[in-house]
Amino acid sequence: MAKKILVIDDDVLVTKSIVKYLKVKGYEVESADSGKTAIALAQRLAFDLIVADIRMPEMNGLEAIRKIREINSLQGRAHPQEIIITGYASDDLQKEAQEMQVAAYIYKPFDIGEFMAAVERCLT
Amino acid sequence: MNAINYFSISFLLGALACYVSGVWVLFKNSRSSVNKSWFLLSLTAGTWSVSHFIMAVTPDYNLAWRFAYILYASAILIPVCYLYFVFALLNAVSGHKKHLLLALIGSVIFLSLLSSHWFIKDVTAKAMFRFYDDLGPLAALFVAYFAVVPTYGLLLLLRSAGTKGKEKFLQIQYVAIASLFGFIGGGSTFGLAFNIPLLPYPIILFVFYPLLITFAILRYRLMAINAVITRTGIFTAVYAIVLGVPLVLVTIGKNWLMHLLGPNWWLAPLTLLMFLATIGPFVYINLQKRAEAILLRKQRAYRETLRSAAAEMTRIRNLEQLTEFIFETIAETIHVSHAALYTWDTPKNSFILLAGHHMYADQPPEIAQTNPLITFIENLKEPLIREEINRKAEENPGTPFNDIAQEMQALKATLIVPSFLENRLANLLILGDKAGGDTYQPDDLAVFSVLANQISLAIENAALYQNMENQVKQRTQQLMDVQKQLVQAEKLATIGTLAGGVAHEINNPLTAILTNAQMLLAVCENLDADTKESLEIIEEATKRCKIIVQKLMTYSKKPLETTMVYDFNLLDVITTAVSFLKFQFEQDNVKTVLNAPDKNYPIRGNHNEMEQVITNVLLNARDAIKQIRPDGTIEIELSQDQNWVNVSIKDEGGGIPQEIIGRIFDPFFTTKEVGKGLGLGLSICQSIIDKHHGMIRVKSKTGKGTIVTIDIPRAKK
Repeated sequence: MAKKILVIDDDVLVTKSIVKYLKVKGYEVESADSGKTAIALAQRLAFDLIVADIRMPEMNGLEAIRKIREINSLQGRAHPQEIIITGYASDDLQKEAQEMQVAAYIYKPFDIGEFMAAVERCLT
Repeated sequence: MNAINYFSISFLLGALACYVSGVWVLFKNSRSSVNKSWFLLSLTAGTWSVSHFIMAVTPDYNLAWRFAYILYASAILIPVCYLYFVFALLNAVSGHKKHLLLALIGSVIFLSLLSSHWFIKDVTAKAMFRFYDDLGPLAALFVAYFAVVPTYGLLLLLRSAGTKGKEKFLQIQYVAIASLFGFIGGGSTFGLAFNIPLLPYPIILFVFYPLLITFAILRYRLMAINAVITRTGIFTAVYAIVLGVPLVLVTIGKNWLMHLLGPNWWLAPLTLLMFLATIGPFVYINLQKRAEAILLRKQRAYRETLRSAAAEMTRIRNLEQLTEFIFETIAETIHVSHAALYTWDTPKNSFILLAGHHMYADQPPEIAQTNPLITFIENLKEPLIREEINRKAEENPGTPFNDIAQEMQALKATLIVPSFLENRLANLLILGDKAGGDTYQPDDLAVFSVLANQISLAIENAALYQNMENQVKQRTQQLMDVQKQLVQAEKLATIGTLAGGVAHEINNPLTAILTNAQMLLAVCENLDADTKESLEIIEEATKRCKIIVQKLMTYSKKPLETTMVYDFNLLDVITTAVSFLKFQFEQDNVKTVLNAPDKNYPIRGNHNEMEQVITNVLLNARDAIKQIRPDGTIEIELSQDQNWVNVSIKDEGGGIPQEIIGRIFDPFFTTKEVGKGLGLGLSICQSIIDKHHGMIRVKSKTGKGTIVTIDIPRAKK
């Protein structure tokens, strides 16, 4: 079965681009434009990988990830890995992400090869 | 008959006055011809007078005869001595040697005829004189000679009075009046000698004449004659009344008083005398003041103006306005031909011309400190009047007075008023002639001295004020500069904060572009070469954008925040920095050359921060080169030993001057214009290097270039 990936980013250009590419690569992709939408999706569906932006209005990406982890715990699902993609180089956020033990922390704009390598690493 | 009477006493007093005056004047200055000639004249005149005295009081016939000869011998010499005196006074001895010779010949002739009976017939008792000369026809000739020669002298005096300058004019006035006294007094004795019943009452004038002339010779700054006359007149009038009224009362009213008061009649005049004598001085002073107020009314008026101007001056703070005011005041009140003010200038070590009024074109701009005038004034501490100095120079040839007179001439000064500040000569006020040709009076000098001192204070005041103003301006400018820098710093700090948000904004669209371009390249199978190339260009361009944005963000990040620390290869940092700047440097024709023999230079720290440092140093190197040449090379050398990794960045720029090099790591220190560089660079670099436990040093030589050396401890595994 194809792996399911959740892409969370408030910028529609970014989500469209990533989703398109991942689909071409044979993955099933859902996208969310905010933390709230992402959580709602995560309630319903089980994902194998989450790709999230950090800086988003109302709820930042790390918050969303925490909430999703909670949901998965409650629902007794396996935890998917998380890849953070961000355009903002803040040390604090980077540190926080490290502490949360995300699988990868990638800066936008990224080389697609680098991105795919991380994705494939997480899904094997 | 009482031999000791008004006449004999007058003769004696007259003789004493002549002798004392002659000796004293000679003693004061034995080199001047004026003083020498006066001595001779006094000697002869005194001897004449004392002879008359002796004749008047001696009972001895033979003694009287002897002194009659002496009397006329002296009298014969008087004309020639007087003429000599007059010429000396007018400084015309050399031109009139012939006249003197003529007069001398005349005297010699008469001297030879003296023993003849046609000259002095006899000595006999006449009037109240024990003995008096009895003259013959030759003596009459002599009297004619005596009248002509001194008259000629007197006329000479009066004629040249106008040409000699004001101070000399006063002197001549005194001498002329005194001469008249002398000749009238002395001449009055001839009447009785020819048995003309004219008693020599005017002889008392003869007593005063030497005193007047002594005064005229020795005293400078003679009071104007009218002032003298007024004072003497008032004095005489008051005391004539004080003494005269009681005297009249005693002589005329004696009988009436005796009738009135009996034996103690004399109490009345005595009381009156005492009363008048008591109020006398007060009346005198009062009348004197009023008389002077009238006489000197015009002068007093301008003195008042000058006094109030002096007070006004200290209120003016601006130096230019002050000098304008000073000269306006002087011009309006005194009406001088011209005026100039010299003030001490410490840097130039001389007195410079500060300002003036109606100055001549060749008024000297400077007076050197070594000028004899300056030394003289510093010792004298009083105003200098040119005529006085000229007179002193004339009377004392070969002395410094000559030089000083010349200096005054060069400065076109009729009057120089010095002013002192704390015992030090500060200013010289130079005034030309008073309009109308009056001389400067002693009162004038007093007022000018006060004025000059006020001028000194006012000028010093204004100068201090100006200095303060300049300092305030300077400080204000400095404050404004620092404020600009702070504003810049804040702007950049704000930009730093903005940068974060902006970066994020840009990164998202960049992501979209890069992802899609790469996707098209990866996924599309039948791309023709052109499309493929376009997509590749898009990919590369976007990657470049990424780098630029990254660097922008790291460059404006706040330093000293907690950063991740890990081991990394310094060589990587340098190559990244170099490649980031590569495009810029190519525009600037600046090459970078990297020498790194090894592959790995491990250090522990934060690679973003190190990159910030390296970038900063490289940019400085580029700027240094661009300042002095159109192109250049930056050499980067990496080296390491067991404990240290060393990178040195060398540029061939203009170098950093010695006096600045100590300050280059100061925060906000920059040599670039506002907006072009903040000066945060090197101070931040130093803090970053410190955090990495390393050292950063700068070595530079003006004209040779700069080497920045960074040492970081090598990371141990």
